[in-house]
Order: sequence, then structure tokens, then C-alpha cells
Amino acid sequence: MGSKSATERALNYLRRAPRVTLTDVRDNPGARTKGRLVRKKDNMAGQQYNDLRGAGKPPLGWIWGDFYKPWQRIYPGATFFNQDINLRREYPPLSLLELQRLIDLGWLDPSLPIDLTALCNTRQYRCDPSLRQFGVQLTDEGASVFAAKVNLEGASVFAAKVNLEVQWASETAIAAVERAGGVVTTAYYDPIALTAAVDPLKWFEKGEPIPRRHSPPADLIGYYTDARHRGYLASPPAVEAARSELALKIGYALPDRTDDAQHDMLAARKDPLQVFFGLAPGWVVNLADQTLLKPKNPRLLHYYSGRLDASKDS
Amino acid sequence: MIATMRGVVVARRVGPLRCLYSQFRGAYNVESLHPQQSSSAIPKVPASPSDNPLQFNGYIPTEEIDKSFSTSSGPGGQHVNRVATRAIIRFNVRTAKWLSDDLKKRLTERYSHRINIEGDLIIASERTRKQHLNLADCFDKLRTAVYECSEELTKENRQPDPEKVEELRLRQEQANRMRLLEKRRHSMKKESRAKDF
Repeated sequence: MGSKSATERALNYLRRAPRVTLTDVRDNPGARTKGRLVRKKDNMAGQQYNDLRGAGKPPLGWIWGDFYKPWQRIYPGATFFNQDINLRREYPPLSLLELQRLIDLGWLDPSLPIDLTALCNTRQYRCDPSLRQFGVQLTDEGASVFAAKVNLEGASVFAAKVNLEVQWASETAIAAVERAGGVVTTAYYDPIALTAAVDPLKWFEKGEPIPRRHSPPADLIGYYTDARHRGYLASPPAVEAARSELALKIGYALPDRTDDAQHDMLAARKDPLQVFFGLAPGWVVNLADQTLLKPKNPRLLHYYSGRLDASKDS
Repeated sequence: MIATMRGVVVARRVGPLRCLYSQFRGAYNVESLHPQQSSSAIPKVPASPSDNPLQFNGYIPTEEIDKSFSTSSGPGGQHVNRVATRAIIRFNVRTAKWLSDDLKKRLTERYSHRINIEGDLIIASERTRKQHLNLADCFDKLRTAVYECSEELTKENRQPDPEKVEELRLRQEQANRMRLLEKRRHSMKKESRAKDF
């Protein structure tokens, strides 16, 4: 039994179909849409003689100043829409192009793990927890080659082998990093831990102990336990399987990981409670004397180890 | 060093770099969150072709497929003329080691319009504006094509199981009985209309 050709199938359908009428000739609903009509009031909108002339129209709610404080954020009285505007999370984007540029120009050292702290230390990337910003979002701009008629192997794709820890990553961005032999992990930082991570110097100067990271909120637990997002709470074998699956899906061969020189660096992962590599939560960093002060009190040790049972006394 | 701020090393009592990665282990470390991974929890990703010659498990060895890129068609001026976003993949169906003979035959029949004289199956895509996404689309098309062939072959070659065969036989017998019964009834009806009944 061979398959019928398209012509045969079409003729069979026609034989069985009812008579064609005018209603069959009509467009399907949604097939054609009318374009937006430009009305007289859209042109310039009465702004011919001030600074807005010639500029793009500002975002909705913009009232003189920066773009992080629109009207609806300052006066959030509307309940039909934007009721949760001040509760929404933002993840300032970092493209692969920008990341490659930072590495090439020497702002970042790819022989060390790159996390939010390393990025913020370069001062080329900003993340402000007070503006409900929750970390780095890795976008895939810069994953592809830009020259015409060049074979993939010889062209300038994202080629740095990095151990990257971000807070949000798109699938193709993860694919681009893994294809180059690197590692991506998505990890959650709660606002206090984020404040410490974003500007460690300022935190250490306060003399406060390094905070412990708390677990993600309920609506983010699903994201960070998913191996497809390379979540820091997902199981390592599931992450390995997701790596192979993504390689099959996008169409690249997973590179060999036989380079032992970088193995330790690429395998480095922070504990879910840890904010800085090499430093545990609860430690106080004394900058003046260049020393570390570690807690001994069992109650503090109990808290900073993340245990949930009732803290032991003394 | 991760905890470096503006070039100053924080904890100079920390030894060589390797110690940076030696771990503080809290209560929520990954090993204790996933203690005994059951095999069903980890998805099985195929790493080699299926044993069944009629079945395709989704495995495509990407190294054995030639990928090339060229400029896309359509409007766009200088950008579309310079940027190689069109992805083309090709491989010879006859010499492909990851396809069984049955699948090769069916693929050649169904997708003869995409195969050239030398037997190379060529799939191109310029669906998106990104080259890597177009490449993924090419592989998606290829995978779908092979899956369709495999499903068709499986359907054609399936053997009905004995219980089903028995059930069908019984149904057929019942249908025959009913047919004969109706025939007799009809015959009696006609007979009863005869003059010398």
C-alpha cells in the first residue's frame, strides 16, 4: 500500500465534497486584518514646538524623569488593570553579544565562574534590587553568525567557554552557551541576598554578616526546579538529559568535556544558600583587617545552614 | 575571583583557587533535594538509533548532516542581502547509518520532491530572522518527516493481537446469524402472502 500523491488525495476529496458555493470562496475569519488607520490626531499629537518634536513617542505613563517611574507606578490606584504593577519582577537583559564583548575587552575573566556579582563589578551591567529587579536575564541576541555565506564552523558565533550563573535564560541562549562548551545555571536571589551580591563592597562595609539565600517564591519554584531551564534546584542527571535533548533539538553536537584543566571551574556551583563563592552565609568580612569572622553560636550556625527545625538553644 | 571588589582580594586566608569551589553545604544542597533519583524521573534522551527498523526514536546525529547558510529571500535591503539567516541541511539518504532500510525507502518515496539526483535530502528554512532558529526549524522538519514515515510503517505492519482477532470473529459470526435470521423472516413474510398458505 503506497501513499497517495497530493493530486490523488485532492481529487478524492473533491469527489466526496458537497457543491462549492459562495460561502466556500469567502476568507476564513482572521485571514485578513485591516491595518491601523492613521488619523489626523496621530501626527505630532500637538507637540511641534518642544523637546518631544521628532522624538519617538514616550512609553505609556511617562511623566518627565527616568523610565522606571511611570505614573501608574507612582499612583497605583487603578484596580482594573496594572494592580500588581509594583509587585512585578524585572530582569534587566544581558545579550550574548554583550557578554562576548565584555569578555573580549577584558571586563570579565572567562577562566572564573561568571555570576551576577562578577557582572555588576564590571560596572557595565546594572541591577538595582530597589527597582524590583531580580537579576540577569540572558537573551540570545548574538548567538548567530553575522557574515553572509559563511560556514558555521568558520564564523564568529558565541565561542567563549564560560560557567555562567544567571537568573533567567532563554532556551536558545542556553543552547548557544552549551554549544561552545560552557555551562549555564539559573539561580534565584531574594532581594536581600541580591543587594549583597550586586554590591559586595558596600555590604561588607556595613559590617553585616553575609546573608543566606532564601528559597524562590511559590510562582518561581517551578522555574528553578526545571532542568530545561537549568535551574539550580533541578537534579543533575535531569540537567544532563536536558543538555542532550537541547542539542538534538537545535541541531549541534555537544562538545567533549575531556579538557580537565577547566573541569573544576565548569563544575563549580554555589550551594542554594550561598551568595558568594568561597564564602559561607553568616560570615562577617572585616575589610580593614582583611579577615573573616565566622560565627560559633549553635543558633546562628543552625540558622545559616538553612535548617527548618526549631533552633537549638545555646 | 568572585568575591573581589575592584581588584581587592577579600579573604586572603583562603588558599589556592580550588578552595573557592570546595563547598559550604547547607540543608538544601542538590544531593539532599534529589537523594535517590528514580529512573522514571529522568527523561531518556535517545543517543543511538532505535533497534526496531520501523520505529524512529528521534535520534539524529547532527555531525553527519551538512549544514550551510545563505542569505534569505524577501524584502529587507542591505540587512537581508548581507546576513546569512537561511539555513540548509543536507545528507545522503542511501548512505545514512542512522536510518533503517525501511525508513530510507519510505522517506525516498514520500519526500522525493526534496531529494536530488545524487540522493541528497535537502531541507531549507528561512522561517525566522535568526540563523540558529532556522537551523532548529530545519531539524524539526527533518524529524517530523522521519516520524511520519515511521508512524505510517508501524501502522501498516501492525499485527492484530489474538484477543482482538477472536472478538472480531465472534462479531462477524453474530452478524451472519442476524443476517440469516432476517432472511428467514423476510422469506416467511413473503410466503404468508401466497394464495395457498
